[in-house]
Amino acid sequence: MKLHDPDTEKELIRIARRLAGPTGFQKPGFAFWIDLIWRALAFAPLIWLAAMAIAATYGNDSLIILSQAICAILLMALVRVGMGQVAMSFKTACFFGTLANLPITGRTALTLIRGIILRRFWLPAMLGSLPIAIYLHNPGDPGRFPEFLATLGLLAAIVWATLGIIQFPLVHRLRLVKIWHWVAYILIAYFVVMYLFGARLVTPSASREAMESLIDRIMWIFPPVWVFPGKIGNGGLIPAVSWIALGFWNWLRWPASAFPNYDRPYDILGAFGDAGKSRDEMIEPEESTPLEQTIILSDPPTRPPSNGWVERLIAASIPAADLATAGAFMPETKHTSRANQTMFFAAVWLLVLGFGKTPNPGEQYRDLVVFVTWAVPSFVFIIGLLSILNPLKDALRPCPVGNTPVPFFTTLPIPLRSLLRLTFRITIVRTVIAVAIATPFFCILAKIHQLPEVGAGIVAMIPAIGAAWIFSVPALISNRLDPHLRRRKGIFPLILATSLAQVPIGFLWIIGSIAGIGLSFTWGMGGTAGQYAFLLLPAAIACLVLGGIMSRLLFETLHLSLRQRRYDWKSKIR
Amino acid sequence: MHIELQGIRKSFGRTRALWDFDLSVPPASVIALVGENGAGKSTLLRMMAGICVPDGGYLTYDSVIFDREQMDLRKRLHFIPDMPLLFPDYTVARNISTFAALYGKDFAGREEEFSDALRETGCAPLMKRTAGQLSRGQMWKVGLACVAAIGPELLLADEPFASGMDEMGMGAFRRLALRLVGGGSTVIYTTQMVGMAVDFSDYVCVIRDGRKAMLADSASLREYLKREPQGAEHILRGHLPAL
Repeated sequence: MKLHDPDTEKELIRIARRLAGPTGFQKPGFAFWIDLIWRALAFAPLIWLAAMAIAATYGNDSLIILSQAICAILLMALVRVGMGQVAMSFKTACFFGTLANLPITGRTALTLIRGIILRRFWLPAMLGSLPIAIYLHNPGDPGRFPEFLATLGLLAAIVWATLGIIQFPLVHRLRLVKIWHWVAYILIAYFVVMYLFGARLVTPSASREAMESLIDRIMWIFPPVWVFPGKIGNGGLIPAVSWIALGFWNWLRWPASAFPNYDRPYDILGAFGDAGKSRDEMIEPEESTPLEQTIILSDPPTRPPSNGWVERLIAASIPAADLATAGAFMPETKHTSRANQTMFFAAVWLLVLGFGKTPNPGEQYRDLVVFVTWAVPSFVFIIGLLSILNPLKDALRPCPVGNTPVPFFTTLPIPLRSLLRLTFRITIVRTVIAVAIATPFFCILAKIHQLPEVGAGIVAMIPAIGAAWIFSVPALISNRLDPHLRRRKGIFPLILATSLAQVPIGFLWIIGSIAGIGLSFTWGMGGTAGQYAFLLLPAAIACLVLGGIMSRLLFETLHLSLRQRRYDWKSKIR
Repeated sequence: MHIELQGIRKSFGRTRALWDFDLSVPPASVIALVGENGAGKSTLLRMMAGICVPDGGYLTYDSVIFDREQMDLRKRLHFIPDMPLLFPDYTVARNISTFAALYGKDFAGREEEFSDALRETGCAPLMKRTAGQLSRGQMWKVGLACVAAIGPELLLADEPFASGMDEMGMGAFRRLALRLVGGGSTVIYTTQMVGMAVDFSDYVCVIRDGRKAMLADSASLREYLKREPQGAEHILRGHLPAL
């Protein structure tokens, strides 16, 4: 469906081409294709990892069932991506008035939205189905090529149809999406445990076979499984065809079924889990009475959140002068629950590894198992404990002042140095907690794996990494401020100098890290190797301290330049 | 607060936003900055709030050259952009108390005054609403309530009369400004409406092409506008009267 007349558009382009001059039209660029390649690449490691995980633990018979389960989970994840696209397209049309502002009926607008959704989703659906179809069949074998093509088409169709069926209010009420998610999570957790311990956890083969049989049955809950090899001829064909037909029928009537929600966007978004509040709450919030005046008058001044032990530690470390700023800009993130969850995870991980038998999946997969055993908790610790993002990112939120966006904090009496102090304190507290949890954890892990030299090294390495992280805060803040500053003329040498200063800081961190790692290993080895520690220790400390000083100097240079009025505040991001 | 601008220059690329701009602001007064679109009014206000800095010249508050990092000076002034900046996820009550805390002000001994401000701006029923849900006019009213809580020595307001506020809100702005001036504060606001500026200000500063074209007291301009029906347009076009 098109709102415009294609002939008029062609005529317009013809006229414009004449006026565009010798250079012609500007080229549309490669953004679309780059995005496409990126998405395809993002899928590839997932499938590779899944396949490797299965292959590491199971023999050929089990491989088929479990690989199919993982393929189905991946395709359902694709459906989830599509749900996000539907919600976003609907949001764009309803909230931002793109289509509502045109003299067209709501149904016409929704038909247009449906067209946009389908156009945007067909390519991801095909791209997501392609590697799965390749994995399930071998298109290189000429005899199996038709099967591969059929599976590819059916998978794309079933993914598409699933996205259409999700729009049914009945499906929403049945909580089908949640059931899919939870089954997928449970299966993934099971695969991880199996991957780590393989046959040793479920020793009797009868139990294993029963479990695999159960998974085989559970998998039928995922629609893509119906068209997998071995399923389509065993009862999968009829549900698959019905599902696809139902899905396409639902897409056909989608403009009519979604129309009642056109001016009530919160209702339909609720189905995608985007709305935190009901429509009534959003449109008719609880009205306050003039008595609320007394509430505000008696309200204590804003304080940083202190709802957990980590928050209390952070709040206690903040100087009194910065409490109001912290109260204004420290988001109520769940530091404590994250720390608790990470500690719980660490305990479970250690318990499982300690009481389970040592993973021994065979020489060829040993490296992979060791990598996962160490990499997963490292990743969990980084995400759960370290403040990777600026904890005061709201302070730098670009807000329009006239036509010029500026960081929010610049319109308030908050000095830049206060932001540095706060970020510094928050980083220190979180890093100290991270080091306090991670160091013993990895030492125990090294003990379980019988790697004493690594354990000794960890005692030195993790605190050093923590210190480097803390020292880098001023440089990181300077870096984050960069998109919010507009340089004035005549300060090019200063810009060059500060940009170049980041290079030695980076080098110092790298040299310090290498020296630290070397130091930790020589320490663990002892004997003759230990003598190198005398060289490496001062090198590591010097790099760390020098890097920290340079990081601070970078910030001070920026601050001095601001004091000397060399920059305007102007965010590049709107 | 004694406010002095001397030879202020500001360019954006080849565009001269302000050029050799001098202004000595009479203390405890309401000043209207009047000019056509793009005359440089908002740039001047942003400069006075420390968000952008002059390419040349000096801006002094109480004879101290101002930069945004001087918190002792910065806490004495408050800037309301044309779209007041609030914490969108906070309730109105939390916003006002946060602003007051950031400026180091408490409500002790000012309850009556602040209650009046809430009543006048009509913010009281909005207290529990999230700032992100408010209309533009309501945000302005909350912005005014924040000003009442802060009580700045210098209030800089960008286009308060084109803010989407209803007559009650604009009346609240006028009363709040007069109350601040009565307490020794200075209020500087921008507008494109000459008649409005003349009606509500002690002085009118006309900006044209980034230069100060005229600084006149409102009483004499009011007389001129009575005499000359097209006077407002003449002023904006630079055909300035001899007062």
